Amino acid sequence: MRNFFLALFTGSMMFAVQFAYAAGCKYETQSVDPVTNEKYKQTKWDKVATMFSGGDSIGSISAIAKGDERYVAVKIGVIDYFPFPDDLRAQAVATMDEDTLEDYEKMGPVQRYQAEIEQLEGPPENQDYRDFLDFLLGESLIIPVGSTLRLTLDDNSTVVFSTTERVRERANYTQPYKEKKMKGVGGFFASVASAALDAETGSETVVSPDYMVDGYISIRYLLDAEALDLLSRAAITSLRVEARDKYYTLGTRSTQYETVRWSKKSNLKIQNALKCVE
Amino acid sequence: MKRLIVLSVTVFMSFGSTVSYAAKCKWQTDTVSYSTGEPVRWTRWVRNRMILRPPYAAISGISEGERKYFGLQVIGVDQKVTTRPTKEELDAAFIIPAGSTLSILMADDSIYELVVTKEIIGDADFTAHGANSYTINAFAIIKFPLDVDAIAALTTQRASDMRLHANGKDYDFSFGKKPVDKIQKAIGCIQ
Repeated sequence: MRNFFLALFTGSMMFAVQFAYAAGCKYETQSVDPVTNEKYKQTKWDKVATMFSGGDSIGSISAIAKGDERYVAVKIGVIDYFPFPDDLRAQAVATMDEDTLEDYEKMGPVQRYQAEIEQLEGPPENQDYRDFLDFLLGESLIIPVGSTLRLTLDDNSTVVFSTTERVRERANYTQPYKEKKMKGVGGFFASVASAALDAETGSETVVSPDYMVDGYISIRYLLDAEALDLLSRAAITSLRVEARDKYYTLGTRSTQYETVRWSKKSNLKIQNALKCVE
Repeated sequence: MKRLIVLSVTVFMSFGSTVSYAAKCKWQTDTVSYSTGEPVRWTRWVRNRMILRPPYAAISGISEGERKYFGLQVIGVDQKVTTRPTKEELDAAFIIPAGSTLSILMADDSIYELVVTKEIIGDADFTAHGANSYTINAFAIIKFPLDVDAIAALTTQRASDMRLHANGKDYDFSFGKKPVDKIQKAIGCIQ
């Protein structure tokens, strides 16, 4: 009899724990494929690093269940800067007529940028400039197949996963010295930008001497059974996403303790997200 | 009898010093390895000096099961470049080959040397300062295995300076004008 009550108590506790996880789960998407009947579930994006906490990049994590497959997904807020290419600037000046050139030579550096851009925009539009803008819009946020996600665990070991698909997001760009309002993206902390908080909207006005690219990119990494088991019990202290031409580290470098780490609360976010798609 | 008293005092002092270090130990990591199940402990990183002039170093005493290491984190290895760094350049920004050495200047002016046993590829990213001006920022964590002799050598006296010699370059980290017990404390915690 005693054993029966013990079993009942244990069972109800386990159920309560499961229920507590399920109750705490919030989903970005829950759907069923009408043709294959495959279930798809993605947890709400959960922020693990923000520029406000001194990190290098901002980003969120999520877990995905697609049929029997499980993924860990990472979304990074990207702010990047590309200088106005010298050869384009030279082309702009070389194609100015005499009057425009005379005015141009009297201008300050900021006005010169604007005059050069106007010259390249045409008509006729400069093809090299068009290619440069196409690069900023469509080629700057790319994660090639095989790019890695490196997770650092709280035992200081690391695990690495790779993407199985190419990800390409369309970015926004802002011309040099043009004001850009960015809400919650953390442009205030961008090193080359000057920014001012807009009291009415809570957004930040960012001005950069370079072409500024901003956007979000979401990447998912397939987990095999072993990886799923590990991440379901491991605490994660930071992650690094490999992009086409750079790395994004999500974590905060504490000036006191030096290592790039998430807060203790954030350490369990991947584990908890995966529990929501069990 | 005199020998016995000296021995007793030495043992007592060494026990006392271990206890006092242990009592003050703070941990960056105090957990169990996910792969081996062994206990893993890293003492909280302690910077060589509080002056923010890169590159600087932080040290930690590390134990993984029965294995002991001296952890050195080298931060702020900066490089100014005029073109946007490629990923390959970032990967190559701070490499510490196997065989690189860490020379530690001890209080009695002797030098104790630790050796890097496997190649370390540091993490790097870059900051754009505008057209044609970028800074590559790199850092790396190096674990130097410690045997009984190394532990004894590094805990018996204070140290004043460290020099990492890697890829033909010297990275110097001073603890200050006078020798300090930061290494002694870090390793004392994992004994």
